[in-house]
Amino acid sequence: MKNFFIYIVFIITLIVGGTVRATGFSDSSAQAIPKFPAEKIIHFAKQVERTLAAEGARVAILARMGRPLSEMPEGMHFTHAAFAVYSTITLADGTAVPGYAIYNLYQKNGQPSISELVQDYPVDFFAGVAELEAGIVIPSPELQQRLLDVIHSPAYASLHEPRYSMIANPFTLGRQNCTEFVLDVLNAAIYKSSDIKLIKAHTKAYFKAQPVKVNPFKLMLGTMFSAGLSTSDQPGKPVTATFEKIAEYLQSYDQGVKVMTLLP
Amino acid sequence: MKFTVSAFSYLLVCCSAINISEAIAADSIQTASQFSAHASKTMGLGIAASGQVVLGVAALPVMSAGGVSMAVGSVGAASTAVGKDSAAAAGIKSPGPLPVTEQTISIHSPAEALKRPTNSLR
Repeated sequence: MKNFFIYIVFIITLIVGGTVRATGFSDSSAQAIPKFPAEKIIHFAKQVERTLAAEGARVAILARMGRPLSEMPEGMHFTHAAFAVYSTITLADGTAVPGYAIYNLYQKNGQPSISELVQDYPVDFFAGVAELEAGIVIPSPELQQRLLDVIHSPAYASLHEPRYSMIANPFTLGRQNCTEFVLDVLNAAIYKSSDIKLIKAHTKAYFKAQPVKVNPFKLMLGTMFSAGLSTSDQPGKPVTATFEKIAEYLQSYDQGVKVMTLLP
Repeated sequence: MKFTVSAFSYLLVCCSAINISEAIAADSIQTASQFSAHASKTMGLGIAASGQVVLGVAALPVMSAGGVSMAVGSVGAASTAVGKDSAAAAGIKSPGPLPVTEQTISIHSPAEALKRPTNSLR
């Protein structure tokens, strides 16, 4: 009986501790220690900017590795994707300079089940990466123009679904992650519409999602312990949008698209 | 003994579930946190504190001339076409290489970073 009590207390303590760790994400001390010195991050972020500029990219999709590849599920390489937009940037002293601004969907701090749209810059984007590697998709000039039109319009914010799931299903409504948002904006640009039902219909017809290859029981437990993980928008076997699948999608349908991986 | 095995099995499954949720986790956590305790912000501020970045206060997309316009909720003529047809053909060309500043721009200013207590910068 005594052993029984000890085990119950031990298990509850560990599970609760794990739950806090899972929902807190960045509370993990391992993530709090930058893997690379500031100089390397700054140099790599500028390298990415120069590469985009040399290609004449006014809009590109940029991806980073927030976790080591060894920790990623099968078929997933990059952990976060966003739009890099060639911009006139005003500095604190009033100077205007040319460069890239990054348009992200990020989880809210302290509320991992909620997201917000945040604009930052390449060095901020790569600040906490696990690996210095960037995924880059440069759409055709025509699609870049259409993307600019969406990003510069109220349609951009209207496509944001704040209810977040890290494995959001790109074919359904109700949950969204960074890659699904990128895909929704892409399809809004391609079809020149911000009608989300129409966008989802086209997504179902032409986009191939990445199956989430995780044991269903483990996934169920994950939804219980992680506020940023939900299967409420997954009617069947869970699928999600990834940077790689978005790149494949554009390679299939956007003539002139360029896909590349950048290393230091 | 049987209970012990079961309990540890359950524990292992729980831990692995948590690890999976973290690994899958698109790390959409903002590198620019509004909370000082946030580790990602710590990293961003760490870079800002290096003194090699300048603060960007606003960014305006550079729109090219002759771009197509788009209204919220509008359904264009291309909306029933497949992506291949709709995304391709209007003949807009790449502008060629673009200039970029040599400065590194951040949403964090060095001044902001230097106001942080030293022990918050890991």
